[in-house]
Amino acid sequence: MRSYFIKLSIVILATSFLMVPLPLIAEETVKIGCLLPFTGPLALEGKQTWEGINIAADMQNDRGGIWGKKIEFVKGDTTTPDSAIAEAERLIKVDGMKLIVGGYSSSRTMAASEITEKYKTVFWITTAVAGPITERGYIYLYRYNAPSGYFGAVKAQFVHDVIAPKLGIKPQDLRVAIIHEDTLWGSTVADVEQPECEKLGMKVVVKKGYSAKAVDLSPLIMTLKAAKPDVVLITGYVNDTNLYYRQCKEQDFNMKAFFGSGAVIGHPEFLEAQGKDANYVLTLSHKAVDPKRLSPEGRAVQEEALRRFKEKYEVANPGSLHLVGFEAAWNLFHYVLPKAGSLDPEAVRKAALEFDKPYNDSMIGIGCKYAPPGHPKAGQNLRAQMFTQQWQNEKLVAVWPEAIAEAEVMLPMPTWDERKKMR
Amino acid sequence: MYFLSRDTLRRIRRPQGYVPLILIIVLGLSPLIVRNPFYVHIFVMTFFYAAMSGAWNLIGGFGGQLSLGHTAFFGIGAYTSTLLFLNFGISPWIGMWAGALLAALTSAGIGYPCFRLRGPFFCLATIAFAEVLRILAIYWRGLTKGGVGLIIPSQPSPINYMFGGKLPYFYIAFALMIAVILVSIGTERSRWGFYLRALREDEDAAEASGVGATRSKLYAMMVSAFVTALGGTFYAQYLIFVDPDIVFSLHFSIQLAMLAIIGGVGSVAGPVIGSFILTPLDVFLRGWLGGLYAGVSFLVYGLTLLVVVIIMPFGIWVWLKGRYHSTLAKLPEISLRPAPAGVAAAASIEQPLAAFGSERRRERLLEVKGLSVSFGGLHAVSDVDFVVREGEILGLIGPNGAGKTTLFNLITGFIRPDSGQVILDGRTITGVQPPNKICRKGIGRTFQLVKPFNNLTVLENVMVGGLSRSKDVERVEAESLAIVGLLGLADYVDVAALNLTLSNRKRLEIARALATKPKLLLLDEVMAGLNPKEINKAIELVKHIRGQGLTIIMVEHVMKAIMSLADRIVVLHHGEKIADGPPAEITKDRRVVVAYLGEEI
Amino acid sequence: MIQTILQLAINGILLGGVYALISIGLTLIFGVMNIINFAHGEFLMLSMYITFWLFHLYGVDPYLSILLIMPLFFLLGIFVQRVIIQPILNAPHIAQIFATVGLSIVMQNAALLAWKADYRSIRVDYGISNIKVSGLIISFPRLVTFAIAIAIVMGLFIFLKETLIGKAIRATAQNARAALLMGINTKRIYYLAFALGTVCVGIAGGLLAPLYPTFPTVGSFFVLIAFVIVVLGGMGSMVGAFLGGLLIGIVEVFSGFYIDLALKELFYFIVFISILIFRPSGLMGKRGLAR
Repeated sequence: MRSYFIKLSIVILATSFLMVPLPLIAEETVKIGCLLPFTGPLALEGKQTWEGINIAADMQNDRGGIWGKKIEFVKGDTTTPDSAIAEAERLIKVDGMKLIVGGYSSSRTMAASEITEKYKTVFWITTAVAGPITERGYIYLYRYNAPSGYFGAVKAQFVHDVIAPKLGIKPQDLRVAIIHEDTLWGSTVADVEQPECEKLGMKVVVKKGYSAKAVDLSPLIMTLKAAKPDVVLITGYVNDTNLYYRQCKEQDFNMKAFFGSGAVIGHPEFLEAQGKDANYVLTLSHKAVDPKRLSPEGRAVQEEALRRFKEKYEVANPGSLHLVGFEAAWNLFHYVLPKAGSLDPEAVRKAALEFDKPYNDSMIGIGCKYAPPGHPKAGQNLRAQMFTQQWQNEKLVAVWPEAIAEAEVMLPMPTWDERKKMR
Repeated sequence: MYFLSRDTLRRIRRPQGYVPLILIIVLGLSPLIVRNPFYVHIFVMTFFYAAMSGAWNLIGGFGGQLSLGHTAFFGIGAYTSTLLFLNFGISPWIGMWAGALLAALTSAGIGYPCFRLRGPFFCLATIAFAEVLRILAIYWRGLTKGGVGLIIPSQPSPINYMFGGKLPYFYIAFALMIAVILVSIGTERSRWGFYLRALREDEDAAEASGVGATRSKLYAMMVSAFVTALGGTFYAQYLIFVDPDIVFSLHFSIQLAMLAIIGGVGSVAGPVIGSFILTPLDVFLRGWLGGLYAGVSFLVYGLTLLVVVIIMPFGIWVWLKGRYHSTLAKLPEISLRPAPAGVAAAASIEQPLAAFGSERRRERLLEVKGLSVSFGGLHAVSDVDFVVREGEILGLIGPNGAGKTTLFNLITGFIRPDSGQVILDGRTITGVQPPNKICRKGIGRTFQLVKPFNNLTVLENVMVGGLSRSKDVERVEAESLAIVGLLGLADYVDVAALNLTLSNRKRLEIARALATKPKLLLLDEVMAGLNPKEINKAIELVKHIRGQGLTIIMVEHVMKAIMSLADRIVVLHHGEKIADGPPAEITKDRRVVVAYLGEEI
Repeated sequence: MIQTILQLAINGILLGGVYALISIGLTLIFGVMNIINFAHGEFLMLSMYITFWLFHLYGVDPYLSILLIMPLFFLLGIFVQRVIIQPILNAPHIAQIFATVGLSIVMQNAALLAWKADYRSIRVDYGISNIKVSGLIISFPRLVTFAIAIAIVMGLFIFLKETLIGKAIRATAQNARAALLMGINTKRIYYLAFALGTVCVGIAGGLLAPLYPTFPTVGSFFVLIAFVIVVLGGMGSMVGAFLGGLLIGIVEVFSGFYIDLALKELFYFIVFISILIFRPSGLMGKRGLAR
């Protein structure tokens, strides 16, 4: 009798172990597509954006997910523009995605957005800078970041309003040099920087493009030396910006102000490569703004997000792409989708257009309001902006605009000799 | 053209013809079954790459010139049609022909100076050209908008070469692929195809047989570039975005070559197979593994390439071909009514060599006056004079290093003389280059170290020579068969040249030279390496050839042959002529004896 | 004005030294085995990564890590020769080229998988230091690189000219079959040549690491220039590769300043194409590239 009960209990125990995993397998998730360059020349940028999106998903999942279900991603790898098409098609037509997050790289985003718009799938673009993306009147795409034209205009304005007075030079006497890498990113920003600077009365003494794959920029630096600019505006990628700055030191070329665009200079890699020499360098990009300027909600989100970046990805100082990826995704997962009630594109669109976020609720101090259909920039986040930051004491601090500034701009930059003495 | 004949219908009735045809029809109808646009997209890309790789194969495979700069033509196509459309509103359907023409001209500009570069160097040169174009596309922002690229506004309409659905793109890509396949088949079977194959085997031998190396390759290059540019327009319209990094991409050039290589370079099926395997593989790998870890899919891709290249350097098709053909052989032929037995071959040519030595009977067929050439300080040939009369056999002898082969090279256009004259049939041909021109003027030659087209059959070898006289492949085939018979190689008609014995290879060399219908035949040591029995047979053969009306100059060391064949002998020593006369006289000439045996005796 | 020209000349020569260093290994392999190694850039990348990890994990100075890299890369060269190059030595050109292309893809993506796409820099003080001589600036690490490039070129030159093995290598390069008949173990020579070439590029990586960040695709930035220099200098000629490197460096810097930096690649490609067409044997080469 006893042995019979023992056997029975063993059998019951065994089968109960089998049963436990089943509900987990059957659990429903909210499947969202993610189109990013995971491989190829833009793999680094794709990875960073992905990490941002992921942290947002983790945070939402820990809050019960969306509509009680966990978020699950289906990835599409946009290594090349034609693979962007293939992957977009696959995500929509094979995997049945109704919503896609991602972007990065304007050529890939342009190609993919043709597909998403055709199949009426919402494309939630975190980062892609080409202006035309939101100038086609497409109603299913929503771009979070500011387009490249914005960079150029704002930088020029900053030079005029802040840098010139700080240097004690009148704008009419200020000599500005513009250098940029020669693909879409650098060219479009520089193409706006130049006329904007000139409109504000400043002299553009050099405007030169270079290849981001350059191994040596010394001829460029010598050209700049000859032109004697006060301010140098750069738009490039991490690699070439680092190379340029290093070679400036090597060639003993001094700049009174050095102002970059986008994720590059704020990147921890810049600090890593330049060390103390990174100090005084300016950049127009994103950062986790001073919590004191944020609302309680904004502060809470920021604190948690930063902690998670550190824990999950060992990123102590998330760069621009991390942050924008996070913010755009967080808006989607935490506000827009719950409001929409389902993945139905029309519902999502409605919720997206109604979404109205003030800047201080956002951990990066950027509000969100998408331009509605009919607006010349339909789909663009009209509140997208960037902040000027400066490396001070090996920390990146926001210096402009006033609303979120943490410190004063420190200019002019010391010369290389002065820096040596400061060590 | 080759296919529009009754012959095509005959071909279709055989399994080799109808099986591919059925496959094509099924493929063409597939969108009716496979509706999902994702899969249609995969088809589009597969056809596209098959077409592009097939176009590359024309010069890279058939032409044997490994180009890794084809993206230059692709980009020219894409930019030309797009710029014409954006700036002048010209439909891309028209613009694409402009782009294709421009690409073809550019390819000639690249090919002409570069063809003489050896394999890897030609490769690097093409990479450099493509890079130059890419940089120019970035730099000329006024024209191309530089790195920003060109966006083609989405206005779907057939005139604009832009469509809302995938199906039209499917069929355009399909048509492009079929067109490339047809062009490849045509190339393979045409005279031009023969020429290219011969060139790949041995360029010198091909030139001597009348094949214009530069001309043939240029032709292949231009057609290849033309089609690649058409593909460029297609891609631009499919993506509706053009920028230098996309359309002038080294990666793209590599991809085209890679597909052909894996599939089977130099064959019609190769690029198609390559694309049908690798393009979907690439998409699926990315779909499966891309999500896992960045780089895994490409890693697998790279490993595949490595493995295939090391184990099957000639591609999958070479391995597959046997199985394919043996499977097909088991299928029945569709017969409507009994076809008449091969008529063509029966038009046997009794006297294949009869066309020679006709027209004017000139006393002096070849005159060499004061011919000289030096290499550095070495006077290889020094002030040589002699005359060859029509119908005679002139022996050319001398110790090793006397300059005999150099003399041949001077006469046949392989080397330019420093001074002197060569007059053939009353016309000066001194210094005429390249050698194929001399061949066409009527001088045929063999080489001291035989140079057969190793991977071509005996018949094909001879046909290369024959094609220098006539474009009619069928007729040349028949004539060549006759010559092959004449030289006792009838049993080896379909054997690859590399499998022949030395003596048969020598016969083949002669057969090939004869097929060019020369007036004058130069034989360079044909007896070398033959055993006594073979020598006797060869002597008979030479006599027979002369009997057919040819004039012959033969360089020989085998005295028996010279003595029995030569009407007259010229003796060279240290590049100079030291004797000239009938054999009996020469053997007694003291200077000749000294030259061969040295002073002491 | 003179100052500018002199500074440009210095920059050009030093840059040329970097390029030359990268090309030396390639020309050696090219000269002996007639193989274009498209994966050459990836060997450079590998060496740079090793230097980085040694620095990052164990604090080994990049210049010192070269001592470790040399034997490591010698073995690596032998391994690659055995597994990939040897089987394709007699294969058609196409197969040879694509075997190394395949290798390059595999290496790039293995690096991506193992070490991710992030840029890795080594920051050492001497990495950006310079020497000032009467107003002219000389970059210290580039000077070191230049000096070592000269040392390697001279060392190899003497090795090839004077030692028995060196002569065996030259013999094999000139006519492999004849060398074999003379009793030279050509197979071993190939191993040696490839290994030596790989060691050279390993050294280059160590020297480059303080100057330039490492990432999986860094090799592709340098590989085309290396090919240009090898052809320019004459296939197989060490001295030629060195002079070729200097020439390219100077052309690049001067054209970058006086004309446009964006066009610098254009200029050296034009130089490249001209050499191929008009003087295919290169500056110093004895063997023609034409048929």
